[in-house]
Amino acid sequence: MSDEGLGLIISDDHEATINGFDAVPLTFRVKDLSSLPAAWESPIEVMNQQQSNACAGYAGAANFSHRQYVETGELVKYSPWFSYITSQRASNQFLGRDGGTSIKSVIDAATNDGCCLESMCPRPSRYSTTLTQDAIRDAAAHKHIGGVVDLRDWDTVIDWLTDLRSVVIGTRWYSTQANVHDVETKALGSGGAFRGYHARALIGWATIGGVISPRVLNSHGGGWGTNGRATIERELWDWWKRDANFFALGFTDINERIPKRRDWTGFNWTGGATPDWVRGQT
Amino acid sequence: MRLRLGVDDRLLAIFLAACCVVGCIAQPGGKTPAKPKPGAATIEELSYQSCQARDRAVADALDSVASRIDAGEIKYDAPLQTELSKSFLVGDATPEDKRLSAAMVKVLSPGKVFDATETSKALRQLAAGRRRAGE
Repeated sequence: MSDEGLGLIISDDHEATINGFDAVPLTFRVKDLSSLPAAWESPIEVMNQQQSNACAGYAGAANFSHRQYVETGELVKYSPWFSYITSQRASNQFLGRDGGTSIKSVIDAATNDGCCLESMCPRPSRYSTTLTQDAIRDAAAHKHIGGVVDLRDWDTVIDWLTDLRSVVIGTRWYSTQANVHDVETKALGSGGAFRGYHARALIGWATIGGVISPRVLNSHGGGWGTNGRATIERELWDWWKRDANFFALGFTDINERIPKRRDWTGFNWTGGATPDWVRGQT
Repeated sequence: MRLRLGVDDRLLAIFLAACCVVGCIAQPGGKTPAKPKPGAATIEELSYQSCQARDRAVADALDSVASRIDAGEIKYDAPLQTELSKSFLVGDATPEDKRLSAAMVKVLSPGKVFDATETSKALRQLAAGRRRAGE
């Protein structure tokens, strides 16, 4: 048993499932990366799955929050527990015990059931499959996935992320990964004891040695990495790619929650205002 | 046969001789002034072009934002504010802006001793270009 909860199940049909998702069209690659800021990530709140095996639910909910922020500019907390339990129901696997879930189930649940707010379905103190009717109704109005694309290729995932899109990854998890501070290196990502598979969300990018690299949000609380975040080194990503169970999936749609209207008073219509995109970048 | 010259003829000869002397003295000596290189623009012209290019770039960016709204890609106020702010910043990075910067650096380079005359002249040209663009 690891100190941190994991819980990503690699199902028998995993490889076929991942290979069955669409590749990103080549025409997608139109961006000049040199004009990007060195780093950007959505400021969504880090959560903690504690000892539960709900990592895939947490990764899914973080993705929905990330997408909501990009689309509307508002920070909204989606319920990882709802995502976890509905995904267990979708696959009819492990429902009734905290045995984890597969990424395919999370996708199926987000597509068919949607996801409710965290306030409507917080993580219970003990494993429970109970979902209120309010939560189910709210989730049904906010379905999150219209399409899924395979992003295991480094250049493609960087393009996807720098387009402010969302990604869920599933990787091997080793005991040394608990020691990650700001950069998740190959040494840390492949050392110590193998603990199982773990799902996380990619929420932006940072630059390591001139290389734009994915920024990951973990579900092990703010004590992991830097406030729950770290930058993935390319060498580790390339090592993960050699694993048939590794996945990096991009989601293409969201039924977002309608945000409050912004106050336009004082907006500078001739320039001078610095957008969030630029603020704080070096 | 002796040629007889009248008073008017003598005055005319003196006048022509004087013109010849004055003309020779008035000839410019030494080098002729250097002609401006073809294509080299004044700071005023570069300033004018930079303003025009900035306005064009911002206009293109605003059109692009409008197209993205029409396409349903921008639906809410927060991303719209960000996109508009980015659009206004686009004008600060045109090729014309870089050419103007290069010309200004020759006058205001940190390595040069401050030259009040040159500096104020360059700034007035900069202002004149902007003023012309705003007309």
